Amino acid sequence: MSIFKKIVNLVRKSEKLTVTLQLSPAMLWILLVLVIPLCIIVIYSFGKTIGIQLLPERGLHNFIYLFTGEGGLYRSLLLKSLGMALLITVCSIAIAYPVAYFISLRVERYKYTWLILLMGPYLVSWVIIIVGWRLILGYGGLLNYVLVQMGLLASPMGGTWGSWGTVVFILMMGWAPWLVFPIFVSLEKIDRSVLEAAADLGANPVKRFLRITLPLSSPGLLVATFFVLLPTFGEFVTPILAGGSGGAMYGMIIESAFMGWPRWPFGSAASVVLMIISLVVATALLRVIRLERLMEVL
Amino acid sequence: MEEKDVKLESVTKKFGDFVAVDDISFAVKKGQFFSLLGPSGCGKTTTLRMIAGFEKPTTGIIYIGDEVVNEVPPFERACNLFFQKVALFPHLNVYENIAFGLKMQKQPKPEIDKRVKELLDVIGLPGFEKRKIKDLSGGEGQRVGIARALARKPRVLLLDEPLGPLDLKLREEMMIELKRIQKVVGTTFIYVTHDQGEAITMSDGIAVMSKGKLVQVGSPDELYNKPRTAFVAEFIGRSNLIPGKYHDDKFNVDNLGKSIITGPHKVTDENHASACIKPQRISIGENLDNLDNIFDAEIQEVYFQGAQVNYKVLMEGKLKISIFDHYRGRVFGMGQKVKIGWRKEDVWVCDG
Amino acid sequence: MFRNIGERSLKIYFYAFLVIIYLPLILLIIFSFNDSRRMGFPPQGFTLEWWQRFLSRPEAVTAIENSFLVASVTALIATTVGLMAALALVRHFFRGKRLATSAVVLPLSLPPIVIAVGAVVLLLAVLDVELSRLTIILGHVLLALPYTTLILMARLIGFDRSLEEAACDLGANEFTTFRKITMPIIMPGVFVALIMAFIISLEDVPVAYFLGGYDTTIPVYIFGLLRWGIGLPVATAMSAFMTGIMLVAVIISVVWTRRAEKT
Repeated sequence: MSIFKKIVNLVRKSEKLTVTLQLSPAMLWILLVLVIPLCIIVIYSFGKTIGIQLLPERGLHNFIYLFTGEGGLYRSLLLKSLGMALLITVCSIAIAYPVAYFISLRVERYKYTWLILLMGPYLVSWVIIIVGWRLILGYGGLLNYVLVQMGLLASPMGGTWGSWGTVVFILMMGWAPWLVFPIFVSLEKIDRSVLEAAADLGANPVKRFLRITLPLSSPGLLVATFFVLLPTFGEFVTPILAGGSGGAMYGMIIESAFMGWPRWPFGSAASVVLMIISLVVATALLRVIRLERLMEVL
Repeated sequence: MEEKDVKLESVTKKFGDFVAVDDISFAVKKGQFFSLLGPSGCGKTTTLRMIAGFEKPTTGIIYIGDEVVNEVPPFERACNLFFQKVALFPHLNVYENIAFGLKMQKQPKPEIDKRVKELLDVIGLPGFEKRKIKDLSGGEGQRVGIARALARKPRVLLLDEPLGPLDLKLREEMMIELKRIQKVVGTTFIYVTHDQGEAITMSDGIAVMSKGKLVQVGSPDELYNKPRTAFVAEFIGRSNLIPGKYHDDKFNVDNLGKSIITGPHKVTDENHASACIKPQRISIGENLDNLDNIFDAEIQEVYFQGAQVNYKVLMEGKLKISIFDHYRGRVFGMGQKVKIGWRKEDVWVCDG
Repeated sequence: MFRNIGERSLKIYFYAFLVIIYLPLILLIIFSFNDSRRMGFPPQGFTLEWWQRFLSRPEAVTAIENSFLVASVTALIATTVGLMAALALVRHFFRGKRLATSAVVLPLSLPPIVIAVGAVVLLLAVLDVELSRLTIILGHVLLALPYTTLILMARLIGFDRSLEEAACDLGANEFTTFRKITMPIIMPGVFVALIMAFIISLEDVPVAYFLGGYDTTIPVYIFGLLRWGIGLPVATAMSAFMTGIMLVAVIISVVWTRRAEKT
């Protein structure tokens, strides 16, 4: 028997071997490109460097600086970013919900056609969407133009671009179309006859929504939260391009520590903090959402 | 010696600690229509899958022909399986489904074409080559499944509860079809089912299984008239089963005054036996002279079925007995007291 | 009466929503032809200058090449690796299964910037590897892997194993069965996984930004232009280009799905 045949027979006989072979590329990739690097930055976060070479000193100085340095700037930026992320999550889910509701419960045919239409903006990168919004919210943008033309403003306002409101708005509008999908999936799963039964038992539309539709669609809401909250924690592109001084976010600290004037240990510490927060939130969310839900959405 | 197409010797299959199949041995003669019969969970499907090669016996040997096939993978065995869910390939049409096995054998196209056409004729669906699977009705799908399994001219065809999902009328038609196809093609069939009607109608031989063990192997006639245990008697046909003790040609039931007179029988344990009496062998009301066993009974339920009347009676105030009687122009009423009786030849004593 | 107002509002909301999310993109296309550097309202004149500039800039064209190359390779790798992992996770029970499943979902639980930072430190400080398109691919596959694996797992769970057994019984060994039976049936799922991975790679900013070195992708390039306030018109034209591609893709999908939904 050739070597190939021998190997095939071995694999055939041993389930363990088959599983190992099948899983190893994925596991290796995750181990090497994710887990080990994360361990490395944890190490860096306790250290000092010359250039990018790590010195043997160890200590909490990076973390202390992070939480107390610059008059508490970084700390407040962290809290502010977490708050913004939460706000963005809540708002984008809130705006996406009626859309999902409409498609699921009001549209008869071609549901998926509408969904694909909604997904369009998601295919286009964030940056591009920001460029587009600048044309609307910017100093010379559509909004100002219309308001001035209508006489509601004497001159264009600058506040709509380059503030934290801009960042929140853009991220909110950016995420909303993507979130329609998980909410839609959980709404589709609601057995329509349950709603009919409720109506039969005397519940008006508002009550039906609050007591039945909304709670039964909560898995979709949780999945949506999972998809928005975590990436938004570390957002830096939108704040840099559209945040101005008022719209700065925590991610910018990390970005400048690595791509600006290199302060790798400090940047690592900042990343580690973000990592811990994300993992805690993710674990909590995943406890509630079982894996099956995630798969359904996909 | 008659040629045996399939033989199992002391085959056992364990899943972890659970014993699905417990030391069974039987052999199937060439050309036989053989059934594995038993309730759900008795191990019959597992046994079939071991013969097909999808499970490996924990201990024991499986022969197909003269060859030991324990280590042989399914695609190299001389048998083919007809699946419970039919499992027709949804993305291929009828021709491609039936031809699949032949393509695996690397047969030339003209040969394949000929064989597919032949099979479609045998199953009664000529011209169906290009049909899509989703356009087939339930019965058509079953038949294509059989054609696909027969395409490679397997030595043994294994069928896993093929008639389960069909409605009654279709099932009856298919039973006749299957038997006819088997006779035409001559392949040995091993048929798994929990329905004793199917088994009795179609089989040349039946193996009754329960909880992983082989309870009795024999012809339908043997199993029907001479069940070895109460389980078999209950499973096959409808019998009155009376638990009691057997000794010396007499069967005694607790609290029953008289003994039931039987012929000589062999039982494993005289104190735990069952007497089986077929409902249609019991005479009721008249023609009771010359019968070895006569008892008093009270009619409790009456079911008039046209040519037949079914009675449920309480015998000697103690035992519930079913009786199937020809309709002779009169029907006994509820609460009536009658005499019932049977010959000693009509009682069969087996393990309880 | 209130019911009707409510229903109407919902309908209006829905259509308004659609308009609003597409508005920035439509404006992009319009303004990419705008005859003014300023890119402000009202649009003035028509010019192809920005498009010419963008297409004649080597860095821009390279960015486009890089993006599509990286996205294609990522899609292929992520789908293949994801398929293998999905097969293992759906069809077998083994001791590390929970752990493996958590590991697969891990990249989803972290903000991309953290992933990017980790990879950069590993590559530059520890391994001393030059950053390039290849390193971007490393990061993108990581981002796409949870998606492809989960998508394929979902498809495999509903898969009827007796089809594979039937093929096996009829003489097909494991490889042939996989090729002729399993793959064709899960093909739709494979397509979805490929497309998903492609999109994730194409539109990613953080990972490509950190791991690209001198190789840029489209979003990173535009990001650079905007950040330093240079080349706004070219950025607009490039954005319009990507939007155009997206619109074409959406229209094709919509036509396709509409046809599929008709049945």
